[in-house]
Amino acid sequence: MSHAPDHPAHLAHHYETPRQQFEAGKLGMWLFLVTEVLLFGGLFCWYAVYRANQPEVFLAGHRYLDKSLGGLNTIVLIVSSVTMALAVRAAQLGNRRALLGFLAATFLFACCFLGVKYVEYSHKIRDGLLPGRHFQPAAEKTGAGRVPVAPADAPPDAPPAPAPADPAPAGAPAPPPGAADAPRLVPSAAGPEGLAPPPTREVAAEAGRKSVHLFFGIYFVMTGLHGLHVIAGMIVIAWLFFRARRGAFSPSYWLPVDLGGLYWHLVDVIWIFLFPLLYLIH
Amino acid sequence: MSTVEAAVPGAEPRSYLQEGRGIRSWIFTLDHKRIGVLYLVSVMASFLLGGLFALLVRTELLTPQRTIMDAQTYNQMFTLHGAVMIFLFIIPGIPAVIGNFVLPLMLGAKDVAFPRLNLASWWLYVVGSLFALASILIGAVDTGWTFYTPYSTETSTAVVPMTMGAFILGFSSVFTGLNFIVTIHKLRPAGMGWFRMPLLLWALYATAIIQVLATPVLGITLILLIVERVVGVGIFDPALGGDPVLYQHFFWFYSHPAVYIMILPAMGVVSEVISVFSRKHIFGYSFIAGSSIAIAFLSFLVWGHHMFTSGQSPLANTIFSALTFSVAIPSAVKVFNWLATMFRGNIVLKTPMLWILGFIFLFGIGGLTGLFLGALATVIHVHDTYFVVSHFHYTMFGGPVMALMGALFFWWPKFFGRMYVEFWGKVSAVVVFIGFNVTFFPQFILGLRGMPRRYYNYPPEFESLHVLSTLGGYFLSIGFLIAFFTLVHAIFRGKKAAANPFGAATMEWQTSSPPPLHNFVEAPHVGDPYDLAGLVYDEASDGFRPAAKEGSS
Amino acid sequence: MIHSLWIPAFRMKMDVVPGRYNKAWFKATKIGEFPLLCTEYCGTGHSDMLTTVVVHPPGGYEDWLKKASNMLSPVFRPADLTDAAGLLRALKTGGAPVRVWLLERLAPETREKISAWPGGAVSEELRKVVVDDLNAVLTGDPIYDEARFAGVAVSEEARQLLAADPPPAGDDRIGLNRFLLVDAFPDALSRAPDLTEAGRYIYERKGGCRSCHSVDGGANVGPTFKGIWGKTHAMRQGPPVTVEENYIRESILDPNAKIVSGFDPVMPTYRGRLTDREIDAVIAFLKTLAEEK
Repeated sequence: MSHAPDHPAHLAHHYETPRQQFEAGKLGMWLFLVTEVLLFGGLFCWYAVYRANQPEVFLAGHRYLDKSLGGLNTIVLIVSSVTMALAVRAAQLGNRRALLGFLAATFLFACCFLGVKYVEYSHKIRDGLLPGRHFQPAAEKTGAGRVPVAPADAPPDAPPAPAPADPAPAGAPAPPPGAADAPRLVPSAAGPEGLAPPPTREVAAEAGRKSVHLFFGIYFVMTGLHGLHVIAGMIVIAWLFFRARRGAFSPSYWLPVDLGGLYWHLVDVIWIFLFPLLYLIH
Repeated sequence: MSTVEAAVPGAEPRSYLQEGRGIRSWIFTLDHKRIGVLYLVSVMASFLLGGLFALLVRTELLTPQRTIMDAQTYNQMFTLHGAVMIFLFIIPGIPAVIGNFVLPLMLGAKDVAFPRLNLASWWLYVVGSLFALASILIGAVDTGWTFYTPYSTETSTAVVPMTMGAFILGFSSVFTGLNFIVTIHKLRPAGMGWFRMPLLLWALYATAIIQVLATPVLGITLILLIVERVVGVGIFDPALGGDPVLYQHFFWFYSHPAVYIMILPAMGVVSEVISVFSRKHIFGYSFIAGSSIAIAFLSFLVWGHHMFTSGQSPLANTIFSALTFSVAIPSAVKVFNWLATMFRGNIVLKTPMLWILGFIFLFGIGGLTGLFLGALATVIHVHDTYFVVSHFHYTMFGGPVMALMGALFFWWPKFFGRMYVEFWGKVSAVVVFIGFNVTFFPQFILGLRGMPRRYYNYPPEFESLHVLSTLGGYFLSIGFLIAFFTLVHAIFRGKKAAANPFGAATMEWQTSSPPPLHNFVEAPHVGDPYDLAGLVYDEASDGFRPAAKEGSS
Repeated sequence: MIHSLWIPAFRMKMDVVPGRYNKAWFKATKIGEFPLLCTEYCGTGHSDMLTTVVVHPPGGYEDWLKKASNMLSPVFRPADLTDAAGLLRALKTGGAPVRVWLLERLAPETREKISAWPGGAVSEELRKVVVDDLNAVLTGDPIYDEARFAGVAVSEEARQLLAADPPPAGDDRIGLNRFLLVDAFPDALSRAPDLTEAGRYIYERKGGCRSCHSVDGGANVGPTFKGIWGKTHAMRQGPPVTVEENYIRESILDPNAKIVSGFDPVMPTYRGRLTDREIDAVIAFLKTLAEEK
C-alpha cells in the first residue's frame, strides 16, 4: 500500500499508476461534458418545441440577427479550437513556449468572440429587441407604425458599429422585417393598401410579429448561457497558462491541458449548433 | 505515512477519526469517510427540519378548518416539507452518506477518484442548503416542491432563493454521481470484474448515471424558471405565448428519474443487508444487478405519467402508461430475488434486518399502488389526491428512509467503531414501522374517497381519518427519536465494535472498525462478496473472521 | 394559474391550463348533487375551490335554464325598485300577511327609518338600505308558506320552482324568492330588471365577457368595450365594420364570422347560452359605454 519511492509528484496518493489517473481524469471530463450537453439539451428542447409550434415567430425573429457578425464569431471560435488543439499538442511535446503561445492565442480569440457578442447585444438592447415583457421594438416606441423596423434602420447618430451587410441599407424607407432578404414569404406585405395578401400568410406573419419576443427570449438565454461558458473557458485557459508558465506540465503530465481543451471544444460545438439554429433558418 | 503503516503488526492502526482534530480538519478534509460523516450530520439535520415541517402540516390537518396556522403558512409548510425532504434529505441521503463512506471501501480503494470534487460536492450542498434556508427566512415558498408555473412565477414568496438552492444542490448531486461512476470504472481492484462487485455498487452506479444524465435538465429548468420570474421572458407564461405545461415536461424529465435516484441506492442497501442477515448467498445476483440498470434506463421514459390530466394526448397517455408498467418488472425482479435469498436462509432478526424487512413490506405496498397510478383508468380519479400522497410516502419514505436507517444501523460500527444497544435499535424499527402504517394507510382511503392533496380546509367527513393519520405521525416521530438517540448513544457509550460484527463478506469489513485513514493496512482479499461460508464467528471479539485457511483439497 | 376540475363521483378529472383547451367528458347516471373540487394546487385559496354539480332529471335542466335565463340578475339593484314610495307605503300600512312578514324581516334600523319616513320622495340613502335588506331576504331562507302568501297571485315561474323536487337550492332558491317578492309587490318591484344593469351583470358574471374585454380601454384578448358603440373597426378579412346591434348579435352568436384586425379568433359562441333578451341587455350596456365617452 505504501507509495513507491518513484511515485511522481503529480500522481495523487489514491491512484496506483499515472495511467490510471489519466484515464480517470478523462472519463470524469467526458461525463462532465455529458452534463453540459444535457444542460443545453433542455434549451434546444425548448427551441424545438417552440419552433414546431410557432415557426412564424422564428422566421420573423431571425431577420433581426446579423448573419455576418454571427458568421465572424463562428470563424473566430473554430480558429480558437484549432489553437487549443495545437496547445494540447505542444504540451504533449513539452514545448513550453509554443504551449504558452497557443493558450494566449485561444484566450485572445475568446475575447474577440465576446467583443463581437457585445456589439450584437448592444444593438438589440438599443432597438428594444428584448425578451418577453421587455420587448419594445424601436419602431413601436416612436410610433412609426405597427411594423417593427429592422436593426439596420437605426438612427444615423447610432454609435459607430459595423454596418450590418444583410438587411436593407440605412436610410431606405422602412421595410417590413425581412422584406429585404425574403420577399417570397410575404410577397405583398410591403405593397400598397388594398392588395391584401392571402389571409393565411398574413395571419402567420402577423402572429410572428406579435410573438417575436419569444425568439429573443430563446436568443438571449441560449447565447447568454453559451457566453457564460465562454467566460468559464477563458478562466480555465488563464489558469492553464499560469500553471504552464510555472512549468507544471511535461510530456509525462499534460492531463489538465487536455481536459481544458475538451471543455473548450464543447463550447465551440455548442456555438456551431446555435449559429445555424438562430441565424441561418429559413 | 508509510512509517505509520509499517508499525507493529497486529496493533490497531490509527482510525480516520483520530487523524487530525478541530473543525478545519473536518470541513476541508479530502477523506471520503470524513466527507461521508459531514454529509451524515448535514443530511440528518435536514431530516429533522423536514420532519418538523411534516409534524406541523399534520397538526394543522387535525381539524377540517384552521387548527394552528393560516392557509398561506400551511401552504408554505407543505412546500418546505417536500423541498427539504427531497432535495436536502432523500436525494443525498444514501448516495452521499452511505455511498461516500462505503463505496471506496467496498472497492478496496483508498478514496474516490476525485477527492477534491467530492469535498466540493459537500460544500455545494452546504451552500445550496443555505439558499434554501434563506428562502425560508425571507418568505418561505408556497408553490409546492414542484414549483409549477405559472403559480411559481406569480406568487410573492421567495421562489428564487429556493430554486437557486435546488439548482446548486443539483450540481452537488451531479458531481457525486460523476465521482462514483469514475471510481467504479477506474478504481476497481484487480480481480474484481463487473459481476463480482457488491450489489450496492451496481445500485450506486445506476443511480450515478441518472444523477449525471437527469440532474442537468433540472438545472436548466430551474434557471429558466428564475429567468422567467426575474426577467419575464415568457417561456412558461401563456400571456406571452409560452406554455406552462412545457415546464412540467422539463421538471418531470428530471424529477421522475430522481425518484429512482432515491430508491435505487436503497435497493442496493437491501441487497447487501438481506444476504448478510439471511446468512445465505444473494439469490439471482446478475438479475439484481441488471435490474438496477434496467430501472435507470426505464426511469427516463416515464415522466409523462405525472401529466395524465394535463391535456396530454390520449396516445401519449397510453404510451406513458405502458412504459410505467414496465418499470414494475425490474422492481419485482429485485423483490422476488430478495425473498428467494431469505428462503431457507438462517434469518437473524437484528436491527438492520428489521428496518430492511420493513422496507420490503412498505415498498411492496408502495410499488403495487404505483400500478394503480400507472393505469389510466384508475389514475384519473386518484391523481393529485391523498392516494398519491400515500403512494409516494410508501415508496419514498417506506423505501429510501427505511433503507437509510437500516444502512446506518448496519454500517454504524464501521463508521464509528462502536456498537449500539440492540434492544433500542429494534424498538425504534418496530415503532417507526407501526407509526408509518397508521400515518399513511388511512391516506389511501382518504384519496379514494375524494380528498385532494394540498388542501388546507377539507370536508368534515374526512376528519376521523385525518386525526388517525396525525396521531400515527406523532408515533412515527417518537420511533425516529429513539433511533436517533440509540445511534448517538453508541458513539459515546457504545461497546467497541469488531471489524466484522455481522459477518459480511464485502471488503469494507476486512479493515478495522473504524478504518484507518487510507482504509486498508494490508491489501484486502478480493472474492465473492456474498460468500459467507468462509466466515466464522469469533467469541472473543464478538465478530466474524475468515476461517483459517487449511491447505484445502 | 393551473387548476384541475375533479368530480370524484364521476371519476373524472382534467387540468385547466391557461392558454390551452382541454377536453373532458362524463355521463351522469344518477340525479342529485355531487361535490366538484379543484385538485391542482393553485395558491392560498386552493382548498376553498369547491362547489357541487347538480344533475337534473330529464327536462329539468331545460326548465332550470329557462328560469335562469329569465332571471337576469338574481338580486335586486336600486333600479329594480320601480316604485319605492309605493313599497314603503304598503309596508307602513300593513294589512296583508306578506306585508307584515316582510316588514319583520327588515333590519330594525330600516324599520325605524321607514316609520320615520314622512311620505313623498324616497331618498337615495333610504332606497339603498331597502334594496340591501330585500337582497338579504332573497339570499336567506325560502320565504314561501301558504299563510303568508294568501291572497297573492303566485306567478307561473314561482309555482314551477315550488313544485320542483328536490327543492331549489343556491341561485335557484334566490330566484324563487325573487319571483315571490315580485308577485307580492308587483307594482313596486320590477320583474324584468333594468336592461343596462342586466347587461352589466351578464358582462361581469353570467357571460364572463370581462375576462377578455375590458371597459377601461385596457388591452386584453379581445377588443376593449370602451367607446365601442358606433366605432369602425378594420377586420382581418373583408371591409371594415361599424359596431351596431346586428354586428354585436352576430359576434355573440357566431364570434368567428368577423374578427377585428389584430385579434385572434378565440371567442367561443354564446348561442344557447344567452337568450335574445339577454343579448338585448348586453347591447344596452354597450351603448352606455359609448355615451360615457
